[in-house]
Amino acid sequence: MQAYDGELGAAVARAQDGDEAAFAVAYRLVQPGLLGYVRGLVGEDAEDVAADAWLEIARDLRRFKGDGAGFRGWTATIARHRALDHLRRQKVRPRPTALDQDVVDLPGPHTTHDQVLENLSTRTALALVSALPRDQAEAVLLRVVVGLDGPSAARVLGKRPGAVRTATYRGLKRLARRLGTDGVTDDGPRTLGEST
Amino acid sequence: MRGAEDGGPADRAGTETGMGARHGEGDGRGAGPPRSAPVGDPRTEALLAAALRGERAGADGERRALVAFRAAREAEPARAARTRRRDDWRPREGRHPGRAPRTALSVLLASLTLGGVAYAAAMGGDGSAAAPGGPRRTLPAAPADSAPARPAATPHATTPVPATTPPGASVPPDHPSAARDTEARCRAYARLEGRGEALDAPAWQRLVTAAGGAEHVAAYCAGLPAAQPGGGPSNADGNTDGHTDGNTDRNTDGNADGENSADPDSGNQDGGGQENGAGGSARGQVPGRDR
Repeated sequence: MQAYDGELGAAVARAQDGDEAAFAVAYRLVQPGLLGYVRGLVGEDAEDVAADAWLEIARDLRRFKGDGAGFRGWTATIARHRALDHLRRQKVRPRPTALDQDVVDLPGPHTTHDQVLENLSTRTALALVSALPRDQAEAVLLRVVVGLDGPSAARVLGKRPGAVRTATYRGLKRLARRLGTDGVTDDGPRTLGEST
Repeated sequence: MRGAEDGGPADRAGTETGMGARHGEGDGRGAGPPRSAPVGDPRTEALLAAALRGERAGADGERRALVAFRAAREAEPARAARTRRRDDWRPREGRHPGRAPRTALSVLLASLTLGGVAYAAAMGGDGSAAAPGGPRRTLPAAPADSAPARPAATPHATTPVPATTPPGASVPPDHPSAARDTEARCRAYARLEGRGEALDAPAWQRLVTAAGGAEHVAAYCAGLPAAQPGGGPSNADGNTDGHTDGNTDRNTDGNADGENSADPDSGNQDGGGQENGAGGSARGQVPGRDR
């Protein structure tokens, strides 16, 4: 996703000058990650919340200053605020989806990494991330799904970079263990189903 | 979530690293895991990204975003699209350091304070009552830049009107208002000490001139008779003094500020209604008596 930052930055600059096609380009580049992040925060209502965020993004586009990477951070901040507003309104728990038994269709301990890659569904991945502590889940989503670097993620979350870096590290470590991608294979099965 | 049997060597290592990171956080030095720490396998991130970024939103979302974009574009000329702090995502060196707004704010506050001092001094010289408590009350008054009020001020200020001296005035009649200006500036100086920006202001320059040099200001101010805590008594000399030295320009300030005070917003808080009434009547009397 960072590979598109040059293109994204150029599109944003043109969109700020009123170029609608450029805004569409920026939307297509940003929306998948943004939606993934919002989904991690609010679950089912992610599309609506993301749409609200885009209204605000379009409205305030000319206020924005920065490059492509900055635009991803800026939009993530807006989306996060909309998501938190939504959660407040809904008075639902911040966790988007309970970790239902039927959701956890993780691959068995003997599947290879390639099989994992093929098999991991959006729903499962979401359930795994949602099972993390909140700060870790958000930090992982911002890094992996939105593609922000540490300082940008920290700014979105309003936390110190060191704290966010730690949260990311721990979250990814735990996810790697769940997914069996942490490279340790001689230490017994580590899938969620077996360890809980 | 995780059972105890889950903790193999790798797990323990991870926990320890995490603990170390937590200690690092405590002193704010970010001694956590190295930035490029290999976290499990890069495949973890790729896996999650592929699964979670997943599908692109339907065309509906894009269409709505574009509608909003067009609407914002239409409305834009009427809107001030100012970049707020949270909209500035330029790399750090491109951003303004946080100091700039604070500096501007302190300059603004200082100029408001000194403007208030000038206002109070001019009001005193004008014969109107300064508010009890002195210049502090006049903080909202902005430095004046409008001159039309001058004609009203000049004849008044140059006319000796001992009769309007309020009862209870205890200051000697020969106490010049310039000295009271100086008192006011000395008070401002004491308040603003250590914040150098304010000291460029004209009021400060006058104080320096009066003291005979910037390094003498503190001693000069200390040598002045103690300022009356309430502005009331010193009102007298505004009416009694007839000297013109320096009064003209200060009265310009004062009257323009007086105009501001008449504004329903900034209002009559600057002086009690009674006092303003007294000032008004004095103003009415003076020219008539003069001519």
